[in-house]
Amino acid sequence: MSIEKLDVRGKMCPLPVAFTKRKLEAMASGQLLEVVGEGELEFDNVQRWVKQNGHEVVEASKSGGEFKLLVRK
Amino acid sequence: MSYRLTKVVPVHGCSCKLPQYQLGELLDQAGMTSEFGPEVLAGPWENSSVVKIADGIAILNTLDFFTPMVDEPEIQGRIAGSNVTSDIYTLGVTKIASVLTIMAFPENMPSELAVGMLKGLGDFCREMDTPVVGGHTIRNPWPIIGGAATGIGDPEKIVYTKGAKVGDRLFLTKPLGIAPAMAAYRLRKEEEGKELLEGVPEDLVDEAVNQAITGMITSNKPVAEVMQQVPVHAATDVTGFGLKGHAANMAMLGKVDIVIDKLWVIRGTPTLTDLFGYPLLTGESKETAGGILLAVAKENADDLQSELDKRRVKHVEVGYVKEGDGTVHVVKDAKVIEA
Repeated sequence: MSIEKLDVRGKMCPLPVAFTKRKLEAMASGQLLEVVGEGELEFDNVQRWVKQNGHEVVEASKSGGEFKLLVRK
Repeated sequence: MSYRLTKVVPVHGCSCKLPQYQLGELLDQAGMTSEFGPEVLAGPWENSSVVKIADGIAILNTLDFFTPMVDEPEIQGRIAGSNVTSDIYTLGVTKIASVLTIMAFPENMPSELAVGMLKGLGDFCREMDTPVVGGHTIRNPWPIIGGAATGIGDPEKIVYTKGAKVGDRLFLTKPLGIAPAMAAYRLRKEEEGKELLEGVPEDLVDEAVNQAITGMITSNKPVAEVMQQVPVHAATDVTGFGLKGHAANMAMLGKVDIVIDKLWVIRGTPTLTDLFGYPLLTGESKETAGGILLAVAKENADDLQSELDKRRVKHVEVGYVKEGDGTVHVVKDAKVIEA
């Protein structure tokens, strides 16, 4: 299964969450999305939204101020 | 002007507050939640500290500052003034002896923005019959504005966050939804934001932003006046922890459960929150310079509403207090009322 990609680096709040939400809404259930972003706050906000809205965070990692989240819808 | 107050900070208004759990951990580690002497009637858990200094006299102190919510400096100053004074008014005290300002000034911020913020804060406080008597300003990468307020009240008449009783009715004096409304305010100035807002009627955004700003610069002083007329068991203002977080404090301190069955929100914000992913409809969206949540006995609810009406304070009954162990419940199908 191909992994959808979303880059929210440099996007102001609330765009990282809003774009993640919009992308997931357009995907099929079970599909994977990789979100790349930056900032502690954005990392927490996107993860929290994903979990609160019934999706799964499969992997979460941080490196050099950037983060990568693998999300299953 | 190319320098935009909201553009140079990643978090805005009370959204820059530390999460409740993190603050609690820090205070515990620092030993700042230990027992106080009998003269300290309220400490870090309250909106303001309360210290009794003589029979019939207590001093209230609070400090409140944050990053900008708006680009217009005088409005930003007014929001800061409204927010800091609210922490005293929330305890039912109307006399604020003085306010000190705190401001952080980035090296590259035009000085007229600093002047505007100070002017807005000063004008707001003067309109509340409170002099601004000094302050402190530092260099800092983010602009910050706020203040410290000193109130004077009768210890016997102060209303705390604790004290809610089973059977109380809960009233809120400003609608929720500052975060989604002000996110729309910022996003409509950016290309990507405009794209996200595509399809949202412009007048919906206008109305939401206008209601949000009007709400933030509206003082909670008239609510404090009402609290001196009508017995109120408990009160808290609704700011950075959101309605649910502040109601949870009220429930925990009162050792009761709180049920929120109505969500009174700024017109248009349910549409915006759906777009942005804010937790508005679960009562968790962060507020700035929000209204006061009041717990009153059933038999005093009509008097409360009539006194609020007299002072043209809009309000909605949002829930009730029941027996329990200190939990807040936001009903899943809570009725959403748009202001």
